[in-house]
Amino acid sequence: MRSPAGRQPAPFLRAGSGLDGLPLLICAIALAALLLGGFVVVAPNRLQSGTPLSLWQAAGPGGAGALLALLVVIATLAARPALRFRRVLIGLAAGGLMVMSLALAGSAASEQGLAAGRLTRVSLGAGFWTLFMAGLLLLADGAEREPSRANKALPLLATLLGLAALLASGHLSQLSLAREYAVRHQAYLDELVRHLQLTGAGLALALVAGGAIGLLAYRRPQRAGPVFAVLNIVQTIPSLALFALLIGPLTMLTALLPALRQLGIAGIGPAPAILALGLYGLLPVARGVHAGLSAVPGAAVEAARGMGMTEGQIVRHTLVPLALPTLLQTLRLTLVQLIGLAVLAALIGAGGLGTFIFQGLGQTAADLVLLGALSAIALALLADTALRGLALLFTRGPAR
Amino acid sequence: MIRFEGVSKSFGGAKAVDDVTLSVARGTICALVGTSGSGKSTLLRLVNRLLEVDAGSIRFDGEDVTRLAPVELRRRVGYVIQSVGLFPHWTVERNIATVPRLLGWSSARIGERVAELLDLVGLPPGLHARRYPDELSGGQQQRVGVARALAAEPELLLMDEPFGAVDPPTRRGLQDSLIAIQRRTGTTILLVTHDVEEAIRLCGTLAVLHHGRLLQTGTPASVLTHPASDEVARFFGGPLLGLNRLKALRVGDRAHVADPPAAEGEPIDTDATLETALARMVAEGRSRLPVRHLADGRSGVLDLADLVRP
Repeated sequence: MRSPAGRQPAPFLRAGSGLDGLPLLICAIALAALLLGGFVVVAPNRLQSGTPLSLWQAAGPGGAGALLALLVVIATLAARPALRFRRVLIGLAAGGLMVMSLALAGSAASEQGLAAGRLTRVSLGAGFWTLFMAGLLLLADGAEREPSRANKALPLLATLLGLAALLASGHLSQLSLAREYAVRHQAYLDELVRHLQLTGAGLALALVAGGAIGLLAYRRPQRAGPVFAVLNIVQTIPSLALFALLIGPLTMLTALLPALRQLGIAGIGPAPAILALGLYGLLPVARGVHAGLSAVPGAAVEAARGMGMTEGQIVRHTLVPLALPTLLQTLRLTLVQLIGLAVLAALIGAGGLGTFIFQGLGQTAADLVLLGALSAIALALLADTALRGLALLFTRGPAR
Repeated sequence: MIRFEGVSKSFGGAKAVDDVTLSVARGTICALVGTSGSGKSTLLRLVNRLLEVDAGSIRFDGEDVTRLAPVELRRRVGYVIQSVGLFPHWTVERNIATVPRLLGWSSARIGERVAELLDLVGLPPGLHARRYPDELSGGQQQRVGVARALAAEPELLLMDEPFGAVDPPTRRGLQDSLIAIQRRTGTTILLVTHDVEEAIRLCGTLAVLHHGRLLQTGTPASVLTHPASDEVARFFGGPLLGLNRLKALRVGDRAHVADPPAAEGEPIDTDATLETALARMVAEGRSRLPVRHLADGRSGVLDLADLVRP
C-alpha cells in the first residue's frame, strides 16, 4: 500500500526558501512575555490570589540565561533556511524550551515553598504559559511542515519523553497544580478513566450510528439531503442544553421500564452523557464517511465491479482503502471534539475530568480548574497527535 | 462467441436498447458505433451483467449470461473503460494482478503473467511494475488498463470508448498496439466508440446503433460503400462520407494490373488505405502510383480514377 520511503517533494513545496518567519515571530512573542509577565505566581494560600515573580526572580540569572539562550538558538536556526535538519533542530530546541521552563518553574516552587511555609502556593504565571505555548507552537509548526516521517516524530517523541521524565522525577511536586493532584490522586485517576470511558462509549455510538448513516447517504444520494438536515439541527442544539434535554426523556423511560434502571440507565449519570456525546458525534462521523466514500473515484468502483469483485471485495479493496485518509481524519476530529465535550458530563453527574473544573469553579480554586482543563487539553492533544501519526502511516509518500 | 437475440433494455420507460440481434464471431473485433445516447454502452454493459436485459437473451459461448453468476462471468470477460479506473492505491503490478488474485492464482504464476502483459502492452516491466498510476501518463495508464483486462486470459474483451480520453497521436499508438495484441492473443473484442476513424481502423465488423436500434452491420468497407439508411450515412460523415470510405478501402481493392508498369515513384503496398494513396497523390502531384505485389504477385498501378470508381 505504501511506496518506498524517500520520495522527495518537488522543490517548490519546500517552504522557507527565504527567512523562516513564524519561528522568529514566536520567539519574539516569547521574549516579550518573559520580560513583561510573571513567570510564576506566589500566593499565601490556595484560595487567595498571589503576586507574580519574573523569570529573573524565580529562576535566577542561570535559569533565565539558559532559556534566553534557547530562544536565541531557535531564532538563529530559523534564520538559516539552508541548514539541513533545521526543522528537527528547531523542534528539539522547542521541546527543550518546554521541558526547561517547566523544570525551572518546579524548582522555583520548591524554593518558595521552603522559604515561606507549607500553605504557600506557587502556580504557573502568564510568562510561563506563553513560553510553554510558544514551544508547543514551534513543535507543531515543525511537525506540520517537515516532509519526512522520522523527522516529524523525533522532536515530538523527545519532548514527550522529557516531560514524562520530569513528571516522574517528582521535581514538580511543589507546584500548586501538583499539590492539587497529590491530595486527590486516586480520585483523579478514577475521573480520568471515567472520562475516557464516556468518550469511548460516545465515540463508539457515533461511529456505529454515524457510519451507518453515512453509508446510507452514500448508497442512496437522494436521501442524503434530508438526513444531513436533521443531523445539522442536532448539532445546533447548544451542548449543555443537549445534556440537560436528555435527562427528561430518560427519566421517563426508566419510570416506564424499571428494568432499565438495573442496567444502570438513569436520567442523570453516564447514560444521558454517552447518548449526548454520541449524538454530537453523529454529524461529523456521518459527514466524514459520506464525504470519504463519495471522494472515491467512480471509475475505480466501476472497474472493480466490472472485473468481478464481489460487493464485499469492492468495499474491502476499493472503498475503504481509498476513503481511509478521510475516515481517519473524521475519527480524529470526532474524538478530539468528544474529549472536550465530555467535560460537560460532570454537570449531569456522569463524572469525568469536568468534575475538577466544576469543583474548582465552586471553590474559586483556579488550580483545581486548571488540573481538569489541562488534563482534558492534554488528552485531546495526545489523541490528535496519535491519530495524525496513524494517518501518516497509511498514506503513501509525502509528495502526494 | 456472443449472440444478442432480440435484446431490449429500458431506463424508466425510455428504450435504451431496442430489439437488437447481433452475432460477434470468435477472434474478431466488432465495434458498436453510434452517437451519444444510441445505446451502445448500454448494450456492452448488458454482456457482463453490469446491467440486466429486459427482454431477449445474450449468449456467451452458447450459454445464456443470465444463467451465469455475475461475478464469475465478469472474471472471464475483460473490461476496459474510458476513465481507465486503475486503483490509485495499488502499484501497476498489483492493478494488473487484480483478476488473477481474485481467481486465486499462485503468486509465481501471477508474477510471470504480469511481466508478460507489461511486455505485451509495451511497458518494460523493470521500469513500470512498481510505479503507481498517478506516476504514469494517460496513455500509459490506459495500457495498464488493457493489461489488467487481459490478465486472466479472457476469451472476450469489452472496451467502452477505451481511447476516448487520450490525445490523437497517443490514441493511434494505442490502437496499433491493440491490433497487434489481438493478432497475438486472438481475443474476441467488442468495442464501443463514437470515433469513426477508430472503428474503421480497428474493427472487422461495425454495428451501427441509433436510438437503441441496430441499423446496419457489416465490414467497414461494405457499410461505408453501401450505407443502409440516411442515419448511417450521416453518422459516417454525411457529405464527407466519401472521405471516410477511402479510410475503409485498401489499395488492393482498387489497383489493377498495368502492362507495362508505367508508373513512377515509390510503390505503395496493397494493404495501405486509399486515404494514404490519395494523400501521396496530392503530396507528390501524381494521378497514378505503382503498387507492390498484387494478389497474383504481379505489380500494378492505382489511378486517381480508381478511387472514385463506384
